[in-house]
Amino acid sequence: MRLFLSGARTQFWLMGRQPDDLLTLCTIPFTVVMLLSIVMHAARPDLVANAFLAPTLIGLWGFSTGLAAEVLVGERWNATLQLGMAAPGAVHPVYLGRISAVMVLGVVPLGETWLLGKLLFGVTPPVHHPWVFWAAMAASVFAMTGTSLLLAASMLLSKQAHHYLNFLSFPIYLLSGVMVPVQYLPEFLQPLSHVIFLSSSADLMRDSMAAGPVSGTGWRLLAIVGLGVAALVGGRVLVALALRRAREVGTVTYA
Amino acid sequence: MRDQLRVLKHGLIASWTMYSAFQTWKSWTFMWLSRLLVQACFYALIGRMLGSQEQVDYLLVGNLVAIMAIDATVVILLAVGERQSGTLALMVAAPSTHLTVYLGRGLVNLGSGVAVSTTAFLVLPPLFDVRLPWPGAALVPLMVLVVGLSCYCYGTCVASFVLGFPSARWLALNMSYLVLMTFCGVNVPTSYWPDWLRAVTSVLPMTHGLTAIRAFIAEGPASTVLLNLVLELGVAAAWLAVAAVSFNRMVRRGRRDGTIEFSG
Amino acid sequence: MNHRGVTVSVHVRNLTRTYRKGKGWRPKGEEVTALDGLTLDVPTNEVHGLLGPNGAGKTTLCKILSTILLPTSGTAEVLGHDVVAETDKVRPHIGIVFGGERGLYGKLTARQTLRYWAALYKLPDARAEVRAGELLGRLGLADKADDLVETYSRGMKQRVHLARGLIGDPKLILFDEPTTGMDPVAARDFRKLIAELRDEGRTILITTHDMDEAEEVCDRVTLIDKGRVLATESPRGLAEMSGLHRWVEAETALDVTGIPGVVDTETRNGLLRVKTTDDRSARAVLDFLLDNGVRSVHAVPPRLEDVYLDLIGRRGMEI
Repeated sequence: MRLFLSGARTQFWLMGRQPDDLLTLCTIPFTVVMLLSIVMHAARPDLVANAFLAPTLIGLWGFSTGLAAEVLVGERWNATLQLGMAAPGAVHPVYLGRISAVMVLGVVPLGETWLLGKLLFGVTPPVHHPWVFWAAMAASVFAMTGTSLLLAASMLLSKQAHHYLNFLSFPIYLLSGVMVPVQYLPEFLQPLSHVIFLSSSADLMRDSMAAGPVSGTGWRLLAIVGLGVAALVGGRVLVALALRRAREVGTVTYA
Repeated sequence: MRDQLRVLKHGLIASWTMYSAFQTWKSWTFMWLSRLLVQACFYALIGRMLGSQEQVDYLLVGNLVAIMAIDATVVILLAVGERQSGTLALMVAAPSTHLTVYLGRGLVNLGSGVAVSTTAFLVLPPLFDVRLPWPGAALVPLMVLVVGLSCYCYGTCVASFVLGFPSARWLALNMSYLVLMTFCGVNVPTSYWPDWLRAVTSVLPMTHGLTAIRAFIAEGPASTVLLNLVLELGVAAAWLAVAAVSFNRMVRRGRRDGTIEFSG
Repeated sequence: MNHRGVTVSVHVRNLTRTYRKGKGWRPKGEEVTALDGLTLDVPTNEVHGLLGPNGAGKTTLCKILSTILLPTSGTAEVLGHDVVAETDKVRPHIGIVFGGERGLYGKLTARQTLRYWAALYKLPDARAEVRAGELLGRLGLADKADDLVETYSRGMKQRVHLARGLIGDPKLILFDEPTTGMDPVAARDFRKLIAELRDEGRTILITTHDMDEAEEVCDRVTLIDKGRVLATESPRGLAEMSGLHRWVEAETALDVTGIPGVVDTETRNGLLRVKTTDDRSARAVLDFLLDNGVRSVHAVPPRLEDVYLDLIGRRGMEI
């Protein structure tokens, strides 16, 4: 736990001094304006909730792929990864701490979206089931943390890491239905959506904003958390594998 | 002029070598092209959700062109990279001008962008039942090229201002293309915006070019199409001129205050 | 020198490490040998230099000793613990110091850097704070402890590295090219510090290209080439044992090339250096110069650099 906290603290120190790390916060306003302008121009106030939810979740995902997933690759680039491997303390909790610190910031786009919607367009969608909404958000941040660890470890093993990270943007947004619900996708693509926790998050959060009753809240939260745990375990195994391979082959990159 | 063309040729060869070291045809096709195609689909699908084919048409056509903007403005990163690599002193000391290199640094990426938009234009409309006026529609890629050039010139201009603040290059790149994608008539007509903002978009690239493409696809009057293409080229020329002046100023100022570093 | 009865901090036997080129999870390409049956002992409290051209295997050896790379065969023990099986006993006692800027977070302050690594070296927070303060003071970083590392000069960054390497109070310190890019003043301070660290009872292993540095700070040096040990001796002993050329130095412009046994001559700043095959020819040159009224003459044993160049060849200069 001390290692985890030390990692988190260090990440906050680093982010505070690297404005580039907060790039996602600067791109979110554009997403907000784009999506809200489409919905408002089409005179569809019923879809305002979608236009608010999408930047929120895109921002969360953006922090993951833009920053958290780069933590390990950055360590290797900086040659601190090998120093960490030679230290007596385990590096996993430190890196998980650093990733978690990033994902805590992943909540900021939520506030940013609501603020911009109010200031620029004078609208904010009602949230009829705030508890469900916040529980879903918390579960999503957790699942995103696990997913980030998995991504970070994959990046370490991949030679084309940056190509993959770049790719994992709109395809994910489309598949997880952050803006347009999954039902609008061609049927053959829909099963893919279920693997991405973000699709469960988007569905549940949309339902929590709507007036009608939300069904199966517990199970749906559990699904998000479950996918998060799976990613976390997968990520932990992959990090161990990458470090073991580094000791055996002498290089961390899978090339 | 011939000297400058030779510089441009070798600059292009160097750019291509660096580009292909980073991007293979596989990574370009499966990671870059496909991601941008999906991006266009993401917006077209919003049109579906809105429930009108008109919306689908508008969003798809707008985004087919807009997805080129990232590639076209990557010159911002590349010019800053060139500046950081420490070659400026060598270029200034050489008999040719550094302008050709800096202004031409991202042309390979522009090519990638135009290829992306053209592919999207061929592949995506049938998927969303968007009808195009074939065979005349074959002219659209040429118009896309005009828009691309204009976005590129705008990119070089932004680059010339960011050179002094290299740590802001990623922010500058993202802002630059997102402004175009958000305000220049990609998702909603520019008439949706307040007057002052509409005035700004009229001097930004993409606005007029996209109007021309939309008018052409809707089989509108040829005069509208031509006028808007000319306007788009005018916007391009203006941005390029400002960029050239700004890059020159960088060297003049650098010679005065010693900010052109001699080595490493 | 025989080390029986002396405690040994680094004990390496027949250490071999090969890499495979190529792609894939387990590369199957051409095999490259980095270490080829290397055997080495470093007694406790010795400053030991590892010399050799690029690719000789110095860094591979350091990686294996610091537990971040597994050997292909052979054994390596640090403080009596196997680096493969007993990593948890080895890691707390080694410190690693890189040269240059690798391994530092530019956006952390020196104090934050030390706090972060203290956690990784399992120091409780309160002790970490004290220890970081001590090290910052000792290395002359106290005034700037709360400035970002990226604003530091090269020499200061090197001291941050040192402080980082010392945070766990290591018994063995591995220095990888520590004086790379250091200015002469910083390099001198560094040498002083090495002496201090030895006085504290630590064992130090340094890889370097800098022969003067090795000659000055190392108790013994090991010349490595192609993954094998060519020789291990004290710098002076190595030079004498090598049975190589003797040098004669004199302030003169006389031509001595005709004397039998003279291999080479060079003149630097009015100082003539004559390379001779053995003691006898060196004496002949001395006599010739003295006979011709040259006052300032002396015979010198070969320098470490000469030995290095003779044993490894000019490749070593391609740094």
